[in-house]
Amino acid sequence: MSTHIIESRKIHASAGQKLLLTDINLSVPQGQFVALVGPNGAGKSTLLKLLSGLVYADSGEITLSGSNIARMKPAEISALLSYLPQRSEIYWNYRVSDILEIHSATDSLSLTTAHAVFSAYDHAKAFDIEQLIERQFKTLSGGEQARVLLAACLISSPSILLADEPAAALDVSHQLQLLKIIKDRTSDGLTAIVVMHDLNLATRFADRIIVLNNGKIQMDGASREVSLSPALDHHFDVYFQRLSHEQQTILVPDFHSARPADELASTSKSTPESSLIPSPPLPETLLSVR
Amino acid sequence: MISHYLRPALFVSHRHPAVMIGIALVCCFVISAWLGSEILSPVTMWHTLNNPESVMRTLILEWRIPRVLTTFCVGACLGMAGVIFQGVFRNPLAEPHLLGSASGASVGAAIALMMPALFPGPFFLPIMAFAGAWLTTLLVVSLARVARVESGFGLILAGVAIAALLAAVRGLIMLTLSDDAVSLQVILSWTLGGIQTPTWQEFFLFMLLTIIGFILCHRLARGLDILGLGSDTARNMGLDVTRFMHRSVLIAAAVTALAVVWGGLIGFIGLVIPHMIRWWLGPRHHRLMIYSALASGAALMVFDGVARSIMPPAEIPLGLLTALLGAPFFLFILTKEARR
Repeated sequence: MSTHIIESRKIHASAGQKLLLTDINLSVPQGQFVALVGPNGAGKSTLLKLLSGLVYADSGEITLSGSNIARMKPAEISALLSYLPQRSEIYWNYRVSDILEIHSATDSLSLTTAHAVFSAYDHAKAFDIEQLIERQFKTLSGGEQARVLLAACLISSPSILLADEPAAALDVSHQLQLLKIIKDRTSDGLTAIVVMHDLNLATRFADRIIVLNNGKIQMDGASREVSLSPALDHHFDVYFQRLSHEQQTILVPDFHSARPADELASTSKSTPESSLIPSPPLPETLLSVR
Repeated sequence: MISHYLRPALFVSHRHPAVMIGIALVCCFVISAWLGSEILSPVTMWHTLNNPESVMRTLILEWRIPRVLTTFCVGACLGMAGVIFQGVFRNPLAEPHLLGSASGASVGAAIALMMPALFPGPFFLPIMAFAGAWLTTLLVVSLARVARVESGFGLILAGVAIAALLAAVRGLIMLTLSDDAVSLQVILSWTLGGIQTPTWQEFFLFMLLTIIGFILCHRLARGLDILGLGSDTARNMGLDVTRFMHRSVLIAAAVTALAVVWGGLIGFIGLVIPHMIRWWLGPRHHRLMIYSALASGAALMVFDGVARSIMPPAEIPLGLLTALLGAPFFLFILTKEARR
């Protein structure tokens, strides 16, 4: 039996005539924190929805804990995996306690039992949202909403978390707080695939970074290796300066350089006038590894 | 510590909703039984009920009480259908009348009433009403889906358009098929909303069906709660959204048909009462379903009492009275939604 909790083989997905994902092969072992990065429209959200069974691939196979997702019942997938969507679609004026209780209850009757209430309160304490429990979800700030949604996703102790930009629209402090929670959970065996746009946070928290571009996995490796690779610049169409600080790699977009795509175009046209504005010197305390 | 943990559970009971709804039910029942073409004083009523020879006593026990209880069941069915439609479509304006379900049931029932020889038997009318409600709801939802407007006002517009079409169809059926055996006046007053007065046996059958309807509706509560978190989250939580929606619409159509068979076309109760309960007790559907059913039944009992007593011996159609209250409330919700 495979040791990988998530596996996908030769996944192809399209929407009408548009090809969204091509030849996606992926294996994720238990307890790994995977950051899924890539430019807008790369297919990150589609891949996450495929892995969570919300949409189906045109061809290929996805297995969760060794079971083919296409043959799994919704309840079986739900017991194994939690999906945190990009945008909250909560319609009614639920209180935070309502949301936690709905996630923690397993059937209609247990909704009213003390078990669901206990579970919701214990969980709220663990996620430091105890003080929000009586408030209506829609009145919370973006950071508070993100913490509540993550807490709700993890209340049933799933083996897998698939989160679509959970840290988007959060301030730095809340981003760090949220990702630290996920990181801590992966130490306890949770497997997390998180769509992220901040490459530095991805490098800092994730064990592994997968770069998706044009519907294909372009890079896949340990966080540090991927962040140091010059190929990353081409997939994001921006040059990064790489700074090393306390064994961490920090990627700084180089605004003064031309975009890799522009540079490529100008090279192919052999325009002699095309010139690169030199990058400003780096602080001496930091060592460029580019 | 324990009290701290159980605070949310006790939150609702601070307002004693069960006690309050219980008192409201008893009051509404007494008021509705008291009101009528002849309004007796409480003392006279007491003496009448204690006099076995009194004709009025027979009238109250054999006519007025079954009617009041039937009204309660009709209101409960409309309240439950409103909760389901609003929850499934996540649309605060959805209710059996506005979605066209009640109109569909009325067309089915009109066919059954005008052509009793088609399928003789006691179940022809309810089956036709159910088929009409279900098919109409599916038609409205499909139209809204094709037009990609199912989550907004488009669903209601589709429902209103289909309801108008069905009203014309119903009128045509009545004009072309009516004969001496079927009084147009009876059917017309029924389409304007009016509670049928049953015998006790008929009432017990209706009550049994309403209880079954309630059990089926309440079983949808968790699914409706989950659906309120969003379709993707609902799917991820193991809810087969499409199948759940179909099942919910089927059950809502069934309870709508029950209400239409016994009460004709009564609008807005399924819209107004669930909203009021949601404001009072919050949006969780297991509470919402129970209290909406009870409160809708209680409210309709009072409306029916008023309808019976304003212009004695004639009755004002119940549907007109509920529309007088419901239409302004609908406009209120409409403007509130437009600001969202």
